Amino acid sequence: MRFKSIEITNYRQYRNLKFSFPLMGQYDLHIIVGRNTMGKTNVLNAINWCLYGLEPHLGMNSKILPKINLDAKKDAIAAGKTTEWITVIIAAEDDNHKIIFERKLPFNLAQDFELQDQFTVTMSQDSGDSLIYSADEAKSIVNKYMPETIRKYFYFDGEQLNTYFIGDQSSRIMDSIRAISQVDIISRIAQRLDKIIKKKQAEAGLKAQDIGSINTELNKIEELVGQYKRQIEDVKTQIDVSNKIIKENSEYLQGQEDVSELEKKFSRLKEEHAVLETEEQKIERDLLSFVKEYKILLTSYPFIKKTLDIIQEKEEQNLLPPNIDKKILQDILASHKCLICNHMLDRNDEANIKSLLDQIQVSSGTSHLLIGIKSELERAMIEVNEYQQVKNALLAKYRVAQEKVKKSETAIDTADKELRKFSNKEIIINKHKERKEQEDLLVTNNQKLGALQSQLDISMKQLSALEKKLASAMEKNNECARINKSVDFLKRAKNVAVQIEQEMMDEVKSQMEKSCMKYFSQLNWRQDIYDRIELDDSYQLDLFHKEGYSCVGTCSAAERSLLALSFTLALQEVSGFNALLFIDTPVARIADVNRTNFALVLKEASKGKQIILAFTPDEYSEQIRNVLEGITSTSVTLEMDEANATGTII
Amino acid sequence: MATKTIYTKLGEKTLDDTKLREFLQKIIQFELGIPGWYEKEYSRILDEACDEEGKNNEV
Repeated sequence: MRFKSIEITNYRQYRNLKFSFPLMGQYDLHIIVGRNTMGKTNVLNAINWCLYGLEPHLGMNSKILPKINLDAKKDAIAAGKTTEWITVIIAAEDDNHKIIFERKLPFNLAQDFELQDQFTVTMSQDSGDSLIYSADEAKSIVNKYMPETIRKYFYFDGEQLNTYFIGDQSSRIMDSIRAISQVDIISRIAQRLDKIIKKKQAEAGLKAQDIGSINTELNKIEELVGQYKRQIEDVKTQIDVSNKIIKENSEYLQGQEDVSELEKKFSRLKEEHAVLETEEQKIERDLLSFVKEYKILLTSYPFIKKTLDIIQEKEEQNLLPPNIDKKILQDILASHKCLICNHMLDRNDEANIKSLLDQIQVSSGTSHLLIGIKSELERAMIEVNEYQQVKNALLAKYRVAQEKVKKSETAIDTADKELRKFSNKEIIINKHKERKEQEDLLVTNNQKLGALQSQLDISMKQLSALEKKLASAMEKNNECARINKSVDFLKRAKNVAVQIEQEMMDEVKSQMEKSCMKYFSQLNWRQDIYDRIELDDSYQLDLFHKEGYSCVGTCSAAERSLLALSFTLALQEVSGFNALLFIDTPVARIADVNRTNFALVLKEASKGKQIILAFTPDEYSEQIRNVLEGITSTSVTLEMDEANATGTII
Repeated sequence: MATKTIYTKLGEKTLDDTKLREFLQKIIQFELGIPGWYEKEYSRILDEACDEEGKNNEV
């Protein structure tokens, strides 16, 4: 890309300034000459501000001033404007596009402050179609042509060249080599491929499915569904059979009494009859015992009556002896004293007791006997008196039992007659029995069928869900396989990118060393004392003396400037990065013969590259003019317009 | 020149893998063009390459 023009409006000391850079002849070299304070450096600042929004070469005094041209501001206020615009427009071109970089900054005149600037890039095709980019897109386009990270190698101040390798130079050089040689594109590709690989691996990981476990679960449910279906079919068959039997039996038994019930009734009556008969027999036995018992009693009645009368009579006449306790009398006699009053017995007492004992021995036995049979006789008399009552009760009971037995026999007879009416009694019984069994079975089977159907429904839902899950898992696994294939492909691509990156870095480094040494040899008047330039693995630049030692630290300021310029030219040569090179005061620190060398080198470099050099009149010395005059495409001198205090081109 | 070098090296390293070469060529072209949403573009180019590969495998 090369600049066609730079148009600066209301920017610092420029009210309205336009540089055009037409290519005239084979050297794309443009010279700007201007005294100090004419604004050469601000042309550099204007370019940096337009492209990057930066003003890296601003002096301390200028930093405190607003960007707006002070005369423009005064005129705008006088004209009653509230806002004045500061603009820098760079028109450029590459092989295919016309590109306009434009940065505009509104300045609020009433409040006296700068508002937010606006940056756009307009790209026009040869066909005439234009696209306008802003914000990050616009910034990206700038970085494509002139990356901000290496802007110092395109637009720089010669005054600063001697500090070029001071500070974090190795990382800056490495970044520069990467960017300018476009290895950074490959590095970026490798990094982005790696990010996509990781993302896809994560995606594949999420999609990986355990189809085996789903299948196992599915088989289990399928087996269960099969079992339920078979059981349902069995139950349905049983229900059909039951319904058929119930229907057939019901048809057969229509109008038929349930013989089994009659049978049961018959059996029950027989059982009851047996009980009644047993009861009747017991009463018969009781009657017989009664008769036997009373036969003796009634036969003995006259004797009992007479004996009892005699006893009663004797008792009424007190003819029966008292009932004395013979044992007490014997104890008294043995102890020789009265056991009732403790009176000691004498001989007479003892003789009397002995005599009493002899008398009691006979009379008391009889008395005891009589009294003993009396109670028995009285009891027998009571029983005899109760004979009629007991006899009547027993007979009544017997008659009731007989009646019950008779009734039972009648009922049995009736039932038997009922049963005898049925010639197919067994069949009817069996059919009734079978129908009842089938009705019970039907109820059970209907309940079972409901439960099975419910379980089947649940299992079918599970089965359906699992089938969907399996289909989804298989789909995901296919996707997973596809992603893994992509990952393999991406890995191969990344490996190629990494290899290219490494090779290019190695080659570029080697070329840089050679090219840098070539330019340095051309620029430097002490060509015979330096052997080579090396970039170590960390891209630290070193200059080696012919004696073999490193000498970059002991170079003069002029030599360091030339080394920096050599490095810049080498970078541009090796990379082939076809961007503008703008050097402000390029030979500020270079004198005499080196200036000639410098001019010769720049002249040669401008054959394939646009170079703008901004000199002070002193810098643009005879040695340089001798080389450059006549071959430059444009050459302008900046002069101060005293009336307007603004820079103009002559 | 650098771009030419990249393409030359890419050609050398993908002699037996046309798909890979075409894929990386497209990616490089994208990176050299106006930057955009790289993930989307990379995925699109990848899908193209893999779909093409899939078709070839099917054949």
